Amino acid sequence: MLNVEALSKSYAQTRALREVTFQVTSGQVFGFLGPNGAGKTTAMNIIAGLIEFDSGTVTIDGMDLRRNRSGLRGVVGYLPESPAFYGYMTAREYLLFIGDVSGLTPAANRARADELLDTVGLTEAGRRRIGGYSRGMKQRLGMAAAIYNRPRLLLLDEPTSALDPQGRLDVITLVARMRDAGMTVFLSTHILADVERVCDSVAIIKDGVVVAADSMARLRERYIQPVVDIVFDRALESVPAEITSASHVDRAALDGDRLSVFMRDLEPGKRELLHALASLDAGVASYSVRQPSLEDIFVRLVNSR
Amino acid sequence: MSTFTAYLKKEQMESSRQSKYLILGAFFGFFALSTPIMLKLMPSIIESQMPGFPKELMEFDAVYSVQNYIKNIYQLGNMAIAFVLMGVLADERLQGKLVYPVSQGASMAGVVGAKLVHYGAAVSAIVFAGAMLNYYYSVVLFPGSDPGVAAAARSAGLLAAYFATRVVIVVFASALFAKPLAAGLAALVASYVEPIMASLPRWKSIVAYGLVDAANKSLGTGTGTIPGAGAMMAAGGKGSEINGWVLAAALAVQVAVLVSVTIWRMKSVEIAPGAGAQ
Repeated sequence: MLNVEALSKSYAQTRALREVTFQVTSGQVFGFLGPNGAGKTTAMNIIAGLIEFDSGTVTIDGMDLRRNRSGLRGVVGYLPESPAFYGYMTAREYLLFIGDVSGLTPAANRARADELLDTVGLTEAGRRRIGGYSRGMKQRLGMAAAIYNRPRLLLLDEPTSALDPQGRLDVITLVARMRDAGMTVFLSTHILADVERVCDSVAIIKDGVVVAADSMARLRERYIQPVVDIVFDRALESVPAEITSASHVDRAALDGDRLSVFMRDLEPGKRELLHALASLDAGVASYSVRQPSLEDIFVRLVNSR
Repeated sequence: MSTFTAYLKKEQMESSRQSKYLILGAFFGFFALSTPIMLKLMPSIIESQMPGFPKELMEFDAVYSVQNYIKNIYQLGNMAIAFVLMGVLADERLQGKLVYPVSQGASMAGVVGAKLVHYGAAVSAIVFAGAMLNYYYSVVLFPGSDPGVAAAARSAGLLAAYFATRVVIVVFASALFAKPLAAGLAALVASYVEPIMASLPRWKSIVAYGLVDAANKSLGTGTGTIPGAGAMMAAGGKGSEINGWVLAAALAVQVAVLVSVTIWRMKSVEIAPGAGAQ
């Protein structure tokens, strides 16, 4: 669906994107992660056809963005981080305006506007002027405007950052529904829990460089070091030698009666670790394999380079 | 075409809800009414300030009153239009308001065209109405020298056409500069430089200021004296003749070039929020 290859963009002396490469498969929710200033919004503005780029290629549905800029408008829906509207319009009037621009017939336009106001929970507020809306309400309206003409690729830049927990859940549920309806969603967010909940693949960007891009499952396999947490029935003075000498154990950290064992390879390491524990004279109160999170990968990748 | 009609509706709504029609209407209407009233009151004011000043030196006619309005409104109307419309494209670009329409397939030619047609028509109508209002009050207050409705309408039409070209200049500047104030000032400089260009031989027939000159001349020669201002004002009778066809052709070419460059500029400029600010 979306193929970005060696994409570079500079602003004066700042290189915002350096040879950025990733692919997004059709029908997926693709998470785009990175710290502030990493280049996420720049990449999204380029893919949305709003700004130019220095070098590289962007193809959407097999069409080159540079050569088909006007043809691709309408294929891509975009929700910017801070969506801007005409404050003197009501939400319904704004959506009707977007429908007019898209060339919908008046009847189809009215039906679509009402349907989307209902979808994003703005039916009652839809006849109030946007100038009086909260940031969260504007974000919801932005979502409705972004999907108004049913784009094949939907770009969402921090769609949940201004929302309360219920609003966040609603947006994430909506994103999952978009994917189920066959839309490809490109989601940039700081909220890693949202990415874990809904994304199929992820790219992590830092200082304009993609440091990892893969499916969630493969990222977990590749980047998460398995950890086994053990609680003993008494505090230990040092890490037992039986554990540190095990071949699949990378290192271990002791904190009183709690021991965290970082494994090189989890499956053979678990068996080896259980043998080592059985040989100790200390009793084991609990034994658990820590569930790896995207946050672990993110922190590790962003801090390691 | 869908972009053009959508933006035409949007501009009407914006102008109505942000009181742009009201501001421009009140501005042109105020000067249309106040210019003949001030001329009428001027002898009494001068007399109260300078007892013994011969009143016969301060006699005005309706033609002079309308020409005086044209002179004033040329200077002040340019400011009003520049400052009311300076953000017409710059604001939308700077604040990211074009992001949704453009990502939904809006064409820049449609956006620019709708703004030009809407504001061109609105400003022309307001200027025409203001000039006719001024003519009516001038004839009421200074009876005996009526230039005639046809001449007044022709003059008002030329003045309206002049201000329609100012809309093109302001929209062009608004596409060129990201900051609305810079766009407004650039448009003002362009408008105020034109009379200097028009003073050069044959240039009067190729710059838009020629329309103001023609609006003045189409009323005939007015008479009147402004005490302290020096010379007798007979604005309609001076300068070289304007070739109407040459002026129309020259302005058509200028407008076509400015509109094309505006559309090209808006197509090539980065429209993401805050991008390309200069």
